[in-house]
Amino acid sequence: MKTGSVTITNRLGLHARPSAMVVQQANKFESEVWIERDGLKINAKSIMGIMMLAAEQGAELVVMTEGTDEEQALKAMQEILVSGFGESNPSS
Amino acid sequence: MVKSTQIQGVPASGGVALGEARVVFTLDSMAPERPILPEEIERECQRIDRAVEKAVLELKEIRERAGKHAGGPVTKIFDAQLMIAGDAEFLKSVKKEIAKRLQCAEGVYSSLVADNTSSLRKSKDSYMRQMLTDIEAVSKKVLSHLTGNGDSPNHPFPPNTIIVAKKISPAEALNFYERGAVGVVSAEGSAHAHMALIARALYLPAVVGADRVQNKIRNGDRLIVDGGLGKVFLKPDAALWESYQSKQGGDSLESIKSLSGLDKFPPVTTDGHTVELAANIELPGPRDAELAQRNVGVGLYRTEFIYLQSSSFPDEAAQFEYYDSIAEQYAPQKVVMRTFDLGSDKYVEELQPSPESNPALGFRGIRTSLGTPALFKTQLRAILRASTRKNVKIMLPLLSDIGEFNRARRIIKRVMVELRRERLEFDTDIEVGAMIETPSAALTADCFARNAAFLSVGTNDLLQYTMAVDRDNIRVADLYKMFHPAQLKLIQATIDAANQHNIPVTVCGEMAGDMSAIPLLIGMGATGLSMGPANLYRAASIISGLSMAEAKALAAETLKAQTVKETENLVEVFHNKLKSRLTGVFSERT
Repeated sequence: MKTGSVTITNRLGLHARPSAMVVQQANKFESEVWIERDGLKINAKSIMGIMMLAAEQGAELVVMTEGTDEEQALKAMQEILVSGFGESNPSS
Repeated sequence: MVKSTQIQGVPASGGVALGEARVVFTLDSMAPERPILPEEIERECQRIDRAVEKAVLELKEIRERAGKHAGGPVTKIFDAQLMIAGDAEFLKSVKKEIAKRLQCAEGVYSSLVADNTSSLRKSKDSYMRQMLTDIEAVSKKVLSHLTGNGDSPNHPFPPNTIIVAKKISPAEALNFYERGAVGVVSAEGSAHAHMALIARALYLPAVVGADRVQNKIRNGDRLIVDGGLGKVFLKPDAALWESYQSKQGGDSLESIKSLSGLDKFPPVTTDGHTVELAANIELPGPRDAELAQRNVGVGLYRTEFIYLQSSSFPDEAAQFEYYDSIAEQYAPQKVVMRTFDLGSDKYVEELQPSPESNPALGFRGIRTSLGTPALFKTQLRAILRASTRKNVKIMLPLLSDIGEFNRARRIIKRVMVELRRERLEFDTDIEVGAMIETPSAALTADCFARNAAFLSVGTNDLLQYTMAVDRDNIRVADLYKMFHPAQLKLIQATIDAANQHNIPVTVCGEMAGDMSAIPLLIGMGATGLSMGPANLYRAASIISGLSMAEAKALAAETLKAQTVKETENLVEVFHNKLKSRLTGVFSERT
């Protein structure tokens, strides 16, 4: 099992559209993918799970992957979670 | 004698509906927790599979119907719900729990949904709250399929039915509309909720947030719904009923079609003065084609609705596509694109993560645009690129200082230079107008008139700021009087400044669509009026039956009046006189 932590940086947090992107990313992999926040561990392949995190900006998450492609899965999940989800930055 | 009661809610979708109440009970009681035997596990799993499958199909179908009635962009509202409904992992966990708990599908499903939404429930963030609403809507559908009451009814309501319920989902609003309801009232919900968005796109008058309204109103009660003011009148007296009849406007498509019956459009007064009439539009819909066909342009396109529909700022390509299709549809008629008027009562989490203590006086309108130049430029690029047919104008909202107008103009010029460099086409002579909706702008209208291509008075905000009154606050709403002398003087100053500089001046707030205000505004010198499409026919008929001379006399006298009582009286007397002269206009819809 691989574990890595990540902080949500986009302003709006994991609302509907980013949640969908996270789920799509997780579903690309064979491995099981979980995200944990403050002791609450959810299945990242489920939109209901992601929504359960109610992760706003600044939320600290731990990603866990287990399976044949766990290494790639962890890397991909961390990438998407810090990507900002294509949110335009109003202050730029 | 029945006593009339007024119930105050939140305005969610403008327009007036008169009719009889139909109280709809939406059951959100807990699903049964029935124990099952091990051999029933398989059957329960199949039941939940089928219910989810039906819910997904139903949502897809609803999405399609929403697109048909209210235009493509509205369908996005249902995307999130479809994704939630189709969550395979969640379904797996439900089936696992059915086997583990030995409990029926309804019980397990609703308990897992409750577990999953507990953190969302605690969140104050409106994006998170919206997700919760979406999840609840889906689970309600799945549960109703499980219990066998799945198919939403489709039998038509009796004529003039107004739906009253505790809570109304977007899909239910669509269903009510399709079954012929003329208005909706709910105890819960906000003006930003998706249900309100759908209602606006359908031109279905709606009031939300009317506390415990489902307990106050009974089936068959006569109701007036004033969606613009967020008011519901229960058992109104004959006088009120009659006064509202002339404002009724749920069926705007019909009234737009009736424009074809007019001799002239735009209308001309009996003594030969043409008054430009245009429509206020929020979202694309079936009305666009009808309006364009009858040579009606758009005097106020509220562009922020493209933003309110998606959960983050649409990029240039998406905005261009949206504006360009609007411009194309209306060409050669003009479309006045008002740049984003976000802030205050409209979502701005993205721009403003921390709430303001006084949003109406805060970061909104042009202030938001100037404060986030990258977003503003994206919108301007998209609007300019949609202007190649030379029928697009730009209007800047909530100006309070000429410096803001000039800064915005400089940004527009810079964007034009960029576009030219990129060899992208646009209308180099595009007109940029100023929206006058603060007392400071009205008092310095001369300065705006010197710099702008046109002025437009936004009467709702102007009145709010002039009277220092929040009309949603029932304890002070009485001061919100559109014919208040202070408001009239500011409008007159704006019109005079524009006339002096020979530029067009229109009125585009609610007042422009008020039948009793129209003669006054024309007499004051407004060159055009922009209003909800439902009011155009009646407005055109009034103007054609009116002489500019009598309108001017009315304006002169009203502007001299000292109190709102006097002004209201003068306007009313004139309106009644006109009504008896133009009986056909006022009695055609009863």
